[in-house]
Amino acid sequence: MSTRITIQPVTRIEGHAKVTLHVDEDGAINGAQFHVIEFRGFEKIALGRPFTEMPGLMARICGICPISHIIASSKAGDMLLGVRTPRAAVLQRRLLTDAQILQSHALSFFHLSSPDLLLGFDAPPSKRNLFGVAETDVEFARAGIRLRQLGQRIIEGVTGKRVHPNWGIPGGVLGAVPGELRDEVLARLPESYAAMDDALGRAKRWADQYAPEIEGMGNFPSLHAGLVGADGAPDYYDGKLRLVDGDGNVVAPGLDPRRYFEYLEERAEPWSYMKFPFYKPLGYPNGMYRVGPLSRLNVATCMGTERADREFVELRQRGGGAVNASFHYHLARLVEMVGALERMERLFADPELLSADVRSRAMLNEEEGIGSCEAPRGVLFHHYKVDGNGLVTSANLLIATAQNNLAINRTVEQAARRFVKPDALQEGMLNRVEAAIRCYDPCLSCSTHALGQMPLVLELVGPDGTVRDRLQRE
Amino acid sequence: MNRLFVAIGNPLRGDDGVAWRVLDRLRLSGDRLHLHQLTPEVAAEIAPYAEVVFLDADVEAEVPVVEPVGDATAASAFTHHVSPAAVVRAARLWFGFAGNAWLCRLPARDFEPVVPSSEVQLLR
Repeated sequence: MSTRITIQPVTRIEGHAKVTLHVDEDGAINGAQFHVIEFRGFEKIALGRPFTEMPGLMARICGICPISHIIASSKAGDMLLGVRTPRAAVLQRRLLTDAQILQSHALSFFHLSSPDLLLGFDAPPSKRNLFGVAETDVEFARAGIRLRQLGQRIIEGVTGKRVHPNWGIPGGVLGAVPGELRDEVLARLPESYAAMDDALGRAKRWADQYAPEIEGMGNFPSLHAGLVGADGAPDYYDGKLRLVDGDGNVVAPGLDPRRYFEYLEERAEPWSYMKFPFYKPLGYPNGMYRVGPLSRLNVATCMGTERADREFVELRQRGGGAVNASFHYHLARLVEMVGALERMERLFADPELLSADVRSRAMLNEEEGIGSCEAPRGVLFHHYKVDGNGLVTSANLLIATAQNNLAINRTVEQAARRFVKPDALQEGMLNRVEAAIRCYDPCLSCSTHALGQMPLVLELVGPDGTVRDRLQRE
Repeated sequence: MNRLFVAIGNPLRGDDGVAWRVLDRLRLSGDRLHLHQLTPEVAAEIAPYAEVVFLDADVEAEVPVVEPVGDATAASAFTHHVSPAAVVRAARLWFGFAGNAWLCRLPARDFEPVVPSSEVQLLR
């Protein structure tokens, strides 16, 4: 008789989920599902609201990456107005995109994933947290907090709030960057670069140390997608969507993100609130693609900044044509944090960043608006249709974590087959399944536009459908 | 007194925002921080203060209660948001916080996005 294992809740991720592992009569894992069990429905909430409200409303989807939702929403609004956004506003949007990359990735790497990496996947659960990390290395824990604090401080310094700011609007942004913020941030950069050098050194050692986890936590060929600029570097604010395959071959060199619906499609499954986007030309589920830090570095040819370029070259050597081991999302996140620091340094050197010319005004000129950008977890699309009064008649949000949904499910199955022994369940086995999910730093609140943290439940289920074992963490 | 008040909550969700509104009306001297939720980096921000007062909505509070923030004894998951005890513990361990910390638990009942009920009682 086969069995089903359920992990619920999955811990140290954002949102609510559970994992079901199916076990056959011989006691082997023969299937796995990653269920997202929360729902909010922002696409419905938006209906009938003025498009001018969308940036402020959509910011509420997420407390970690509200800036990305504001920017994608504002860009859709720019399109509805039919205006060219002032350069100072674009610089400001780029600055906050980088600040958000910094704070979000710091949270993922230092707070959520480093306990496994520093203390080991089999360390006692009571120790696998930032306090446990600090008991081992207080400087490392402190550096993570300081880096996240810097990103949050920039967001707060520009917008007045660190979470859910009233800042982005169709046509631009609401205010100028205060000059004193530039001095404050530049003064903290040397400390931040030093912290990143240390973190990268550790992450590279861990990448050499955890060979079984690299092999068994989402190591498979797939498409990778991300926005790139004309120079081949990731373009977090704009750019064209490039896709490469698992060998690094370019599948699509530069798709227009405003035509995303022509090449991306979403499929629903009855066992999860999170949809399953796929690349249309390859069909479902063969059109599985990954997005986010690792995929951005796989589709790019450079990072466009000196320090990050050095790390980029090194990271890409960990794969053939593309780096397919999802474990390396961690390292990719750090490379992106370095790039974000360097780009912010450049942006603060541009005097126009402080300009007060940050808004273009117009009446409604279009009936359809699409905005895209790279959120910390991957490319994000906001798509609105409006009536003649500017009220939203249709809203579609294509979120990064959802775009990784097929890959996350494949990763869970691979990790379960590799690490879980159903007849001798140990906590460390299940933690590896969770850690495999955490490679993607999934934000289920965003991807179902839903509410909450991400605890996880794991259930072991037999072929007759009965639950044989269950592990739950709050 | 080198004092910091930290109000926690969402002012758009009824009583969840009671801490913000109470803090806005407090006449005590000190710096003020309005947050939707506590996050790990708040540990660095409270460290320089001699006294920190967290204000938060609490469905279990019948009346406003002020109590010392204990050290977090059980290890916290320390994810995207954390408890006052975890923030204080982190501040002491990693950022040299040597002050006193208090938690003011404010009665809260209704979290719908409407005019808060508890606030009317509290401010009366």
